[in-house]
Amino acid sequence: MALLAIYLPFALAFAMLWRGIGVHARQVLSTLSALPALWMAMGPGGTDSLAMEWLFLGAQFGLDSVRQVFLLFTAILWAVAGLYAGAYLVGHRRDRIFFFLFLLAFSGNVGLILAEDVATFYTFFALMTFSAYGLVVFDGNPRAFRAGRVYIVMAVIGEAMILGAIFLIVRDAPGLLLADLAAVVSESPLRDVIIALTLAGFGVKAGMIGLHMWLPLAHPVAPTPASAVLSGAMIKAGLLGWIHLLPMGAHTSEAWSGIIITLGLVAAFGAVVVGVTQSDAKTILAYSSISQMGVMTIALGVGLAEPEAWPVVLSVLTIYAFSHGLAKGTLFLGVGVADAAASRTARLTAMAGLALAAAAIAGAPMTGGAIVKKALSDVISFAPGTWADRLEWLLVASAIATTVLLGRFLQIVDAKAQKRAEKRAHPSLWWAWTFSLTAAAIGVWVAVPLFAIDVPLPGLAVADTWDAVWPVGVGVLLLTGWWGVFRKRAVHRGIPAGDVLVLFTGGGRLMRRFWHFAETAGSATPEINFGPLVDRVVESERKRAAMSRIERNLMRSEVAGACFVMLLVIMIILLIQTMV
Amino acid sequence: MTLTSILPPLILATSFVTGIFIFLLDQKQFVARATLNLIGAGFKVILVAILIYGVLNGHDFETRFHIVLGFDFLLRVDLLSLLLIVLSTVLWFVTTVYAIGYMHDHAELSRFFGFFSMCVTASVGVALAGNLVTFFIFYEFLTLSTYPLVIHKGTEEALKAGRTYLWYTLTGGAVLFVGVAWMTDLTGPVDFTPGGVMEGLLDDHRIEVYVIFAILILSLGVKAALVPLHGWLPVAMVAPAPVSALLHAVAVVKAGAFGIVRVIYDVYGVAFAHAIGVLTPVAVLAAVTILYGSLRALQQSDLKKRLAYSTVSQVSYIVLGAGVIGLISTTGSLVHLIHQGIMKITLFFCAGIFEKSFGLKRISDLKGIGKQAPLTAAAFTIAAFGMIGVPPVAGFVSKWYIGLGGFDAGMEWVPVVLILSSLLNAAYFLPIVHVMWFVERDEPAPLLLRPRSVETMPTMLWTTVATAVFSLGAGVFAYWDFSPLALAREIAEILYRSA
Repeated sequence: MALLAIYLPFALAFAMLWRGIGVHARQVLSTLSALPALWMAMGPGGTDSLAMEWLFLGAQFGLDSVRQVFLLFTAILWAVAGLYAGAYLVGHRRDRIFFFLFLLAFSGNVGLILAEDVATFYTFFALMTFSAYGLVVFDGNPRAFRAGRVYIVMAVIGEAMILGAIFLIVRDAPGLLLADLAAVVSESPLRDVIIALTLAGFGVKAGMIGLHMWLPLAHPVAPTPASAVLSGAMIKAGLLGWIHLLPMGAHTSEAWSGIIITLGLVAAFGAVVVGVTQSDAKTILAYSSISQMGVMTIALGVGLAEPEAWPVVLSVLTIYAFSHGLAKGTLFLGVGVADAAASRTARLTAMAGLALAAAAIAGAPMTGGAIVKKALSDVISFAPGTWADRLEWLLVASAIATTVLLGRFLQIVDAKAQKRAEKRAHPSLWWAWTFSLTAAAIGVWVAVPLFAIDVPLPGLAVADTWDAVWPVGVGVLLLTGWWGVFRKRAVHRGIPAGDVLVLFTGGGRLMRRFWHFAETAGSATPEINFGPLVDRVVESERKRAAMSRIERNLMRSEVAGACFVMLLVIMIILLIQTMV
Repeated sequence: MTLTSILPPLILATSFVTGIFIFLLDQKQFVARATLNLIGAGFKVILVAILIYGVLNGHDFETRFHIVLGFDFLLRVDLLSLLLIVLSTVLWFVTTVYAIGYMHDHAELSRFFGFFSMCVTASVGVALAGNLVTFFIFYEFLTLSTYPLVIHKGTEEALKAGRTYLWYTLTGGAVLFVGVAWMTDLTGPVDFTPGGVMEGLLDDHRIEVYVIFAILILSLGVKAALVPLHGWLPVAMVAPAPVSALLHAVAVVKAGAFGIVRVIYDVYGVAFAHAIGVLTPVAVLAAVTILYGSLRALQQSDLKKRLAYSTVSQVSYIVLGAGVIGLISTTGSLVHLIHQGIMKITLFFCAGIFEKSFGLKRISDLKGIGKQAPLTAAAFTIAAFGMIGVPPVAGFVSKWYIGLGGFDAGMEWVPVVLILSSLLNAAYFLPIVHVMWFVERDEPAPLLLRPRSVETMPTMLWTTVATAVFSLGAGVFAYWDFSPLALAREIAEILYRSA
């Protein structure tokens, strides 16, 4: 089953290239390709690992309870995004290519979840990364190309750092199995280097602050279904990478824990600050993803401080990722749905759905978000030293910030949706989104008992509800106030998407000038070549004259004859010597 | 004469005799030439298959006869030679098929294919050589038989490149001769032996041991294109695409790299070379070459030139792996001998198709070519990813082994160099992939070939696809019992068992 879950999307990716089928056939096939993965995710779990020694560097596939949760939201997201894409791309002349890349990336995403050895994990990670590039630049305009360039440069650097970390780990590891690696890392003499490389390498994918610049550029320019999986599912691959390769549960490091928590906090709040100044809905969502990944990073940092608490933290982290993945995917898909709303009813329905998904991310009561946020604030108490107290209210503040950010998002989507679409969208657009929204709304309620995750489902107690209500309420109030003050002003220029990227592009330009790249210099730069040098010496007039004199002399018959006889004699002598 | 002593010369003869007959053909005898070529190449494949079967069953294949001064002419099959023989034989077959299509409208085809066969004879000879003298003979034969191929087009530029090529390789050959002669003076005529033959000389001839090593490595480094001796390689890419493919993947650069491997493992012995501290300089030189080649590749806007610099860089992986002591890095080095060959030949085949079918040579001209030539572009993409070291393509496996081997030997900078090189490889290969697939073309590139071919001639297309599939398969099935990696590991174990 594990093989089928990976192989079916992979094989169907190539079927997508066939011209004989239409966009709706592709849509259906794409959705169906997620079925084996869904089946595995919903199944009993704890299945035996499948070892294939002959494949690659000895591949092993399997599924544990944590990765089962990852697989579930990943499969759901890709399935609905595939369905959605069919409607989104009706009439698009390059839908073959889109579905091809989409399914390749999907099979990469499933593969990296099912992989149990580090080489296979890295392989599928790369497959996902590189196919996703095609999704980012799919629209083929300068904006997409720029986003693609930023994406690929950062992704490749990330891959390189991951490879570095893997080298350092595997050097001391008994085998390649991921399960053994945390212990190896914690024993490694170069532990700090490994942690730094892993953190940064997967941080690119997970949108860690400082390495997040590609998200606000790439997520908005990709076609909407691709943004949904980029921001909902693929971003979590970075998290999974951290879980696998950091010495989680095997090592205590307060220093690293502090660094990771700090990075998470900066992301959680910084991304909101930059995000609210954005005027594009999908850009705001990208910033919201950075912010939410920041929250998950905090939990990771807590887990690194307390190895004993790691299993609990991990299960909370997993369900948080699950909740955020589904809700964020729904929000992205919903942007397209609102854009395509052709009537007032359609618009209002879309906005209501978006509000629900946004509420789930902000953690409003009765949503999955409230459950996971509550669970998170419970495990935060494991944080080292003085972190515990501070984190508790910082988390609340983060919920407020998220509410403001997503409120802003809703306003922008609504403003844009006022201008009605001329044509009604294909019904499957609505179908896909309804599925996605349902999953986002009830996902956590189902997943917690299904996977027996140790997270309390809230009762209807007033106190519990109040904990979840007031931060969201404050957020809404703040936003309303802010809107009242600033609405009258002319639209001000926000921070450009990608914020700190500006700092790096200058560096890139400088490097380009220093080492003339093909586009700037052509291939005229001289090369070390001794050939012409020797030619020059040999062909100098004097030497040539001397040479030809010698040659003329050699050609005179008496000289040539004498030489010939001499050589003959030498040969004979040599021959006699060898005989003797 | 038993089969075991007759098979090695027979293998050489398949291409040598074919070559001689081809020389006699008239330009117009296309069918006869193609038939001869394919029969020769096919025969060779069969004989090599028999050879592999024999070697696996423990037979020793050896042909030895005396030449002057007590030297032996020795052809011997050990696993290391088998590695290069298999590579040459398979890729010769593939390249011949490709070249029949590619060269059909060129002049002087009998000369071309004749020397083409000679060139393969020489490279198999290099593989079979059982001692330095025999190695030297074939090594020089290789130089002479490739020269006519490099200048085949006969243009001013080609002739100039040919001159440069000869200056480099002949000088290298002359210096190699000095090294071989000097060594033989010290040791007497000796065969390649795993574990080496130099150990006893250290006490009396300390300086000579070092100097000879330097001479041998540097003279072989000319063909292996070690910086700064690589100047001929980027120039020589004026040759027709199949020649470049052969030069870069199998014949010339491989002969150089293979020679270095032989010297380190079978003349000096890796343990001894390590003990006297000559390995690290080799590794450093290779590392410099790897980075320099990649940096230079970035600056090229001509596709074949960029590929040429990429070869400079990639071939040095083999040297780097050989220069790092340890079973793992040796495995990586040996397997890269194969991997680099199949990946680079794919890339050159693709470059040839773009040039032949559409007249496109510059990278920026390849805009949107993925739509018109999807299979070629896909093959290129696979091979390019392999060169970068993206799993599961073959190149990753090489990097994995050499990198981990670097740790084993306590040379932590080796993986760092590899990763830097990967970044640089990505920087010059990914833009090509991007241009091919994602940039729109204003109007389709006119197809220069007969209209019935889709993207190119079938002979060219399917050989390219085949080598791309090899590149992918060698990585995906790396741990399969009959993968190049398995063979390389087997050889590495033999080389270290004796040490």
